[in-house]
Formats: sequence, structure tokens, C-alpha cells
Amino acid sequence: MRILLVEDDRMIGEAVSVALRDASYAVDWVQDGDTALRVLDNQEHQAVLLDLGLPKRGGLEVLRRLRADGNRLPVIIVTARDAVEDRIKGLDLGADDYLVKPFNVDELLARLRAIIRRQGGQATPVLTNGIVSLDPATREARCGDVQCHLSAREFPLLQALLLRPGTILTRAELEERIYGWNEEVESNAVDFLIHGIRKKLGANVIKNVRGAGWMVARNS
Amino acid sequence: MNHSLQQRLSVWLSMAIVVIGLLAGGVSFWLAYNEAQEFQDDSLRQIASLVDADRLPSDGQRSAGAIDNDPEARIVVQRLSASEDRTSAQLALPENMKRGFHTLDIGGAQWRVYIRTLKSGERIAVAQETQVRSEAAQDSALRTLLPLVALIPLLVFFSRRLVGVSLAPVRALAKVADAQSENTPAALPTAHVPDEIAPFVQSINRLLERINRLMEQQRRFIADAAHELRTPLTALSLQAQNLERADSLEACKERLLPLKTGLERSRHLLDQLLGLARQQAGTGKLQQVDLVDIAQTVIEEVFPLAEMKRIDLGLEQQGKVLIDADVSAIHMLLRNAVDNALLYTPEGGEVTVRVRSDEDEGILEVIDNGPGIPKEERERVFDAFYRVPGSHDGGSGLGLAIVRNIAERLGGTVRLEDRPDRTGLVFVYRQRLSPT
Repeated sequence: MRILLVEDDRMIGEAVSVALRDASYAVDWVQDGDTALRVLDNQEHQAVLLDLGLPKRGGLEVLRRLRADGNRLPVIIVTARDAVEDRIKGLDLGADDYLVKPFNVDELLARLRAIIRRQGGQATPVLTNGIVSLDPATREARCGDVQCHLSAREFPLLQALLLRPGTILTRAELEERIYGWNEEVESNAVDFLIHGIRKKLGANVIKNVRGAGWMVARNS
Repeated sequence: MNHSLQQRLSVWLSMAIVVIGLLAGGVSFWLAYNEAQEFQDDSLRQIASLVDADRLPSDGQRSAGAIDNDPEARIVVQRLSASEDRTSAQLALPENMKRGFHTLDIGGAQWRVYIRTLKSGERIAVAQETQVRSEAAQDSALRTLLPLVALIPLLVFFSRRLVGVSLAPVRALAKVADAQSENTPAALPTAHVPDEIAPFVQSINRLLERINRLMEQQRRFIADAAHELRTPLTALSLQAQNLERADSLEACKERLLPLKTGLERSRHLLDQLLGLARQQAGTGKLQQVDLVDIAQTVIEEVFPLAEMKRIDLGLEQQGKVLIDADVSAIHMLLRNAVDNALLYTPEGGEVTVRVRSDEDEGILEVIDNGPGIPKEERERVFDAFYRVPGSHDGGSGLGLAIVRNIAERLGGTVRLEDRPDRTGLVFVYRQRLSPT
């Protein structure tokens, strides 16, 4: 799962990046509204954490432009402005959630899981396709009687597949969800991770479509 | 000293009326007295001319009966003759009186006497007491004075009413003012206010407007300050939580560093907030200071920081420049300017503090070779918490606000200018030199 963090304060930006990486998210961090819009055009991210008081182009303006372009990417506004009008304005402009600084990291992570879950059309916290299920809060995966804990890299890979069961994801798409910009991607990292997951949960959990990519079976 | 307009007006009006009444009475008395004297003299002369020697009443007889019943008003006519037995005469008149009018003191009373020589050669005296005319004059004076004195209570009453009615709008204004909330006092209504008081109400309204503006500024400042305090607090809380999750000693050390920087930033922000509050309170006392001393102290303080960034920090001066200032304030002003210069000048850059003076002003300049500040931003950077968009973070956003506060308090001016020879900013503070 790859998150775009838009935050102009260097210290907060660094600290949030560390917290998100600890929780197995890939994080890209930009410091102004213009850059955020440019990056979002590439559609590499699955969620945005958006600060409102940004230089060049304010967070609300970024949100307005994003929604005007028809982009339905989940957005959580993270700001020090706690006036009710500001929250209402943000939510009305299309934000999915709102977090007031200073906030607790666990709350931020829970809210992120919630909006990502809703994005996949699921109301329950546990992602599943009927065969394999994944709890994003604990990184626990279960297949039949087998239950195991996934590593920081394995988790986003399986999560990406489980969010859209039946859809083939290419190697590049999977890499994109697992790694941030400044992280080096090893050439066979995806194969290595899939091998690991299959070893833990069983070989038929993730299906390989030759020449195309990988998928998990659609819920029957 | 009594401050009641009503009472003062009453007292002064009454005094004026009494004085005018007395003056009018006096004049009236004097005029009536003169008139009465003329009248008396005319009567005496006429009576004398009517007297015929033949019809003159014999000595010792009373004169004109018509006025007999008023003893003061009686007129005495008597013959004057040397041979006469003086004891039989009504009035003891001195002998050899000349013709014409005389005023004599006879038997304890004042008499007006007219002496006439008849055709027969006889001389007669016609006399009347002067008290008559004094009484006439007094009556006249009293008649003039009395109605004026009667006016006093009337005037007091009306002046009280008038003052009361005129000041009613002022009382209404006071009520409006009392009912105002202290947060946003509204202007007082100027309708129905007497012209004499309107300027006062207007200046109160101007004062209220200034207070409102100040309150608004304060409210905004507090809102901004709360927002600004949240930012470092957010960073601290995140850094602490990151530290908590660290699973190795190495990671712990790695995550402790940003936490320490975060704490340092919070401390700096609080210092600046306190500094601003202190400057706004403005309690320091003025004394003569040498700007060169101040510059040297500041340079000593920040030298380690400059060395760390390999910035060439220097002082340019040509001798003492004395101004009257609060030492801690002028020190804080220069410190903030130099801190800014060091913050925005790239590594290996150059910052110069220059102290000089022209005819009547002492001048402090801080010259850097940082990126400068765009012209359109140069006023706004003095606002509290304003930062040039995209600028280096880590500053409190209060430095220049503090500088402006100090400059205003010391009566100096502060400007940001382009560096003429290359890119960079020149901070200029000017203040009148101490009178020698």
C-alpha cells in the first residue's frame, strides 16, 4: 500500500514517514500543493494524507482540483485547523476523513485502514476472497486452518491483491504498491515475496498468470 | 470644587442676577434721587415765587395745609429779618444767607432751603426736609431691584431643567456604553447628541475603533499561536511514538535525534513567544547604548552557529554610535536579524553586521548573501507567524514581528532592502542618535 504524504513541515513529514513505514506502508512525501497535484496525476498511490496549510497551493485547493479531475483516491486531511467549519469544508470538498494535529499514530493508521477498506467496497476490517483472509490491523493472514504473520513487505503485496480479487496485477504494479520513490527495488523482489507467502499459506493462495502477473481468486 | 453643571450654572446665574440687580438698583436710586432733588428744588422755587409779601402767613404759622398731615413732606415758608425775634421763628435759620438753594442741618434733620428776596425787599426762606426725596429715590431703587431678585428662583429652576434636558442624551450614551460587551465594543450612536458633546463622543468612538482593531489583532495572534504550538507538538508526539516502536538500540538512537531537534524547536518557539510578550509589555528603561558594543555581543553569541555552517561572520564599524535604547530590546532586535541572516544564508556564505551613523541617526545593518525576500513579501514578513512560502522551516515566524515591536517602541525604523552588489538581503535599523 503506497501513501502520498503532503506536509510542509519537515519534522512532521519525517516523523509521519517513519511511522507509516513501520506499519508497512510505502510512503512518498512532498512539501507543497503543486508538487502533490503533479505526483497524483501519475496515480501511483492508494491514499493521500493531506495537510491544509501548504505553500503555493493550499490543501483544500489540492483536494478541489483532485476531485474536479474525477480522481476518487481516498484522502485524509491532517491539519492543525480544528474549527468545525474547516472540517465541514474539507469533508464537503471530498475528503474521506479528518485528523487534527497533534494526533496519535495508531489513530492515523486505523483511519488509513478504514478508508482503504471502504475503497475496496468492504465494510469489515478483514480483507478476504473466501479462501484467504487478511487482517490489516495485525498483519495476520489466514487460509483454512493455517494462520500466520506476514512480514512488512509481504503484507502490502497480499493486501494489494486482496483489495481487488480476480484482477491481475503486473510486477510493476505490485512493486509500485510496495516501494516508495527513494527505496531501491531488487529485481526479483516480487517473486521472492510471493514465494514467501505461498510457503506460509499454501501454493494456491496466489495464482500466477504467465506473461501477465498475479491475482487472488474472486469470491465464489 | 463642585462638578455639577446644574449647580454651577445656578450659582453663577444667581450671582449674575444679584449683581445686575444691585447695579440696576443703584443706577435707579441715583437717577431717582437726582430727579427728586430737581423736583423738590422746582417746587420750592415755585412756592417761593407764589409767595406775596401781603399774603405771607404771619410768623409761627404753619404753611401749606394740603400736606400738613405728612410731617416729613411739609413745606415751611418763613420770613427772614434781622430784627426779628429769632425764637419765634419755625426754623432756626442762620442769618445773612445768600439767595438761592442751600442744604442745611437744622435740629437733627436735613433741610433744603430756598432764599428769595421779595419786591418789597423782604427776604423769605422756603424749606423742606430732604428725607422726602431720599425716600422717593429708595422706593424707585427697590422697585427696580425686586422683580430681578424674584427672577432668581425662576432662573435656577429653568437652568436646572435646561441642563437636565440637554444632558439626557449623555446619560443615554452612558447607558449604551455600559451595556457594551468588552470584546467588541461598538461605536456609540451620535444622533441626538448635543453639538458641544459630539466631538467628545466621536473621539471616544475613534478610541473604541482602535481598541477593536487591537483586540482583533490579539485574537488572531492567539489563534495563530495556538496553531503554531500545535505543529512542534505534533512533531514531538510522532517522534516519541516512533521511538516507542523502535526495536533495536540502533533504531532507538536514530529516532532520538529528531526528537531532540523537535524539543529544541519547541523551546525556540516558546522563547520567541515570551520575547514578543515581553517586548509588547515594554518595561525596560532607556539608557545610552553603544551599537558597536551590542553588535559585538551578538556576534559572540552566534559565532558557534556561524562556524558550524562555515559562514564568514564579520563586523564593520568606525567607532562608537550612541543611541538611547533599552539594552535588552536593542540586543534582541539585532539578535533576531542576525539569526535570520544565518538561517537563510547557505553554507559557506557571508554575513556582515555594519554599525554606522549619518548626521542624526544611528544605523545597524545586517547584510547576508542568502536568497533575499521578494519585494511583495517584505511588509508581510513582519507579521507574526508569517513565513515566505516555501522558505526554510524551523524558524518560529516571530523574529521579525519582535523586531518591529521593538523598533516601534524605541522610535526607530526597520527596513528590508535588496543588496545592491549581488543577491542577498540588507536588514536596516535606524534610530535617532543620543543628544550629545
